[in-house]
Amino acid sequence: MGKIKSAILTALIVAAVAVLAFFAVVSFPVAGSGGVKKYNSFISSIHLGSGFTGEARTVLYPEGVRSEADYLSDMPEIPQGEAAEGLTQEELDEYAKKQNDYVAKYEKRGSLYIEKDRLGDNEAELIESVKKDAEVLNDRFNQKGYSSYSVSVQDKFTVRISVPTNFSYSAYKDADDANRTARSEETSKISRTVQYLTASGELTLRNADIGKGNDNLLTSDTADITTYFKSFKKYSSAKRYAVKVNLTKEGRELFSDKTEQIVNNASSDKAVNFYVGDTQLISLTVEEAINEKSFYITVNDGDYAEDYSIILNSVANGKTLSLDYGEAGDIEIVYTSASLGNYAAIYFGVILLLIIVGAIVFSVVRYKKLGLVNALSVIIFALAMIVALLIIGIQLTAAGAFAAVLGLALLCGSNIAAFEVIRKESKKGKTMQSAVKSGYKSVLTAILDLHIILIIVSLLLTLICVGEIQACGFIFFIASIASYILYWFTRFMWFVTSSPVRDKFKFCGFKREVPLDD
Amino acid sequence: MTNLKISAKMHIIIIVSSVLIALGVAVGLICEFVADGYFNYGEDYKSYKSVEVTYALVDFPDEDAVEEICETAFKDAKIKYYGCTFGDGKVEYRFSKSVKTEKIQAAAEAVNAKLKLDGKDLSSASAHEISDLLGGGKALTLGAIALASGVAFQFIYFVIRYKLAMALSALLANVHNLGVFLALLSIARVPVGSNIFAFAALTVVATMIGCCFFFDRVRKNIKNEVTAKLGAYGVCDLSMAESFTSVCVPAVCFAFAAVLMFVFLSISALSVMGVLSAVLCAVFSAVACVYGTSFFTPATYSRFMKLGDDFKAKHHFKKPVKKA
Repeated sequence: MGKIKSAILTALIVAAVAVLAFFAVVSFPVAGSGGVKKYNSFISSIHLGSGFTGEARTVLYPEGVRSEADYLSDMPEIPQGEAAEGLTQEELDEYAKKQNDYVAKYEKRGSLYIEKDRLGDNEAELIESVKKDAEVLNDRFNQKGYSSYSVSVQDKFTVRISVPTNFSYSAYKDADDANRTARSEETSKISRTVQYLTASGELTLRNADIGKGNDNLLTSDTADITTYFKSFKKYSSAKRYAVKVNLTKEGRELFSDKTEQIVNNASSDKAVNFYVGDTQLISLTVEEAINEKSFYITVNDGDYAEDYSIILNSVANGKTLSLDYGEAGDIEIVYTSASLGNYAAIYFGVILLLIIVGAIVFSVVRYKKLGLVNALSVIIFALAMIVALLIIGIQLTAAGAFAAVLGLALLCGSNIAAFEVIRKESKKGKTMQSAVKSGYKSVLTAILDLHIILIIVSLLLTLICVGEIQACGFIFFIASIASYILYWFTRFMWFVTSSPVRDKFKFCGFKREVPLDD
Repeated sequence: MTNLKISAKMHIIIIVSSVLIALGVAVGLICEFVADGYFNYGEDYKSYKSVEVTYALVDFPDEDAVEEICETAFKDAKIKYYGCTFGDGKVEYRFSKSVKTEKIQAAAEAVNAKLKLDGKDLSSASAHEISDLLGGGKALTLGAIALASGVAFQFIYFVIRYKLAMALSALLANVHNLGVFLALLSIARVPVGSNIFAFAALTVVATMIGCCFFFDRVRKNIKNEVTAKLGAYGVCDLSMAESFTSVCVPAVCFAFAAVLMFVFLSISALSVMGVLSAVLCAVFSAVACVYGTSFFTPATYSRFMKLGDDFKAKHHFKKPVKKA
């Protein structure tokens, strides 16, 4: 390759990498917005695990169980001072009686206030019901594939749920641009998921026009709804989302009958509405009678589709909550600080940067200008990982970042192994071209073996596992593929950059031992 | 390394490994019945106690003031927390399950009294007990399945890439290394969470890589007329000596990267204990991998090789000579 060709190609690649690196790591205020809008770098927009951005947690109180704050805020007050002026003693006694009745109704248990009629003989039953409900909730949240989450029993009578916030660093620090996924979008997603997955009650199908009773039920009160549905599944294709409803034979007959009735008789409500307890989930708009084994109900968002399918599957399989945990609006969600410290994400970024700098410095010291070629591959690898994490939306945890670092080690290890073999070959007196050719040939199988093994193991982890391990597997899968591609990219760039150089041994920091015959 | 005759001394390696694994199983079983489980399950799976403080920003605009009140109360009650999270006007301090409930309640009441001084009745503190921690059960089951699939895949890959005897040796090495890794975790009582599978997978991967390097050398040495004459034990010892660095480097690199990352994280979290488990898991994974691949694999493979050679020799001599 000629000098000019080599220089142009190298300059183009380096410029592209530099531009990408700038937008990947630098956040800055958008010019002309008066500092209101901010461009968030790729790296600050990656979703992070609870160790870096905290968790969202809530406590569910069953009916008759109250927190101290709720108990005190709802306690009837006895007017005092100015408010008591003009009131008769009888009226004051009435207020006092109301307060006494309220106090007498509850018994304090630790930090909780529990209605007395729920204790005594019913206490063991209440505790058991809370425990069973925690297991049902655990089963529902387990299907969300969170990197970490927990469902536990708190103070014997309440259920506590913790899920990762899925914030990016910019969202965690509340420095988001309006055009990007804002903190509020993530919090509303969590609120909605908690609201749906904690819904109490049975699954019912309702229609305002042809439904019976106060609840407009399409099935009789005694009907066992679990016999109508096989499963509910999330379905997505080309950014369109739906819930796929699979029916049993009985379910098919029911839907055929009811949808025909809706088409013929309903005037204002032309839909089959799916309810869990009193929470309406999805509606199937009916235009003609449905007589199929399965059908799709379109929803706006992939997260909606997932939440609906989880809760509907759970209740259709008889896994309903035995206690009522109040209205969805009553659930208070607390967003906590990062468990690894408020600046964990920054520290972590610094560690990763140090590892990259270390790899670059080592290769430059040992292999001179060839080390720079390896450095370029390392930087491209880092950028590829950042872009992949951002586009695919994988939640990055400490273990996930470790998987990415292992990928980087794999790339550097592969390159260094090849360089070392070539160094040995060149010591035998071979020309650079011949040494490179035989060096790459001799390590070909070992490098290929290594990558095949790692790609398949990481693929197994991705396909079989859930949560954090699945994310780690997927990150390592991407890292292994990137490593193998960049291994050959290094070979290509070595050729491009060293072509115009006269002393190719000096370029690599190698010494050629000329045989005596020469 | 080159002077060690490992292959002929398989009995020593088997004794060491057996003692280690038996000790791990014994410690695990004792802890299963008298303590908190076979492994020391980490925070993700453990019940704990907590003090939750809800403070009004009107009364306490600076959360440091709340922190100071809590720290003093805990110090007076002589109790220590292991984790603390802030958020939305709430602070939660986590205590080990073994801390007495009365002490935690007394501390919560002391915090409550101090928060409500000067008529600040919008803030409060309460003690809680969190038990039956669920979550991650499915992750553990699927992690175990993925690990088993990884080991099975390795066996199939080695059968195709190398020989059946080599595949069997690698399979044994994987089972052995995982056994040693789990035994070390059980003995050291390292708190384990779902990350145990990440490091177990790392052990399997590093073993596979190490076995690849070792068997490549064995194949080259068998093809070489001079080294082939060394016999099964000699070839295995020589191959191990030649590939020892290559076997150690991936495992040590993995462990070093883990240590480096988690050391920085411990600085961020201001807690060594929180990240120590990950570092120890990485170190144990590397130790199990280097020990198993460098000592156990040559010893077992040389036996298989010798069995194969003997079998060949026997059948060679018994082969009936065809009549012309």
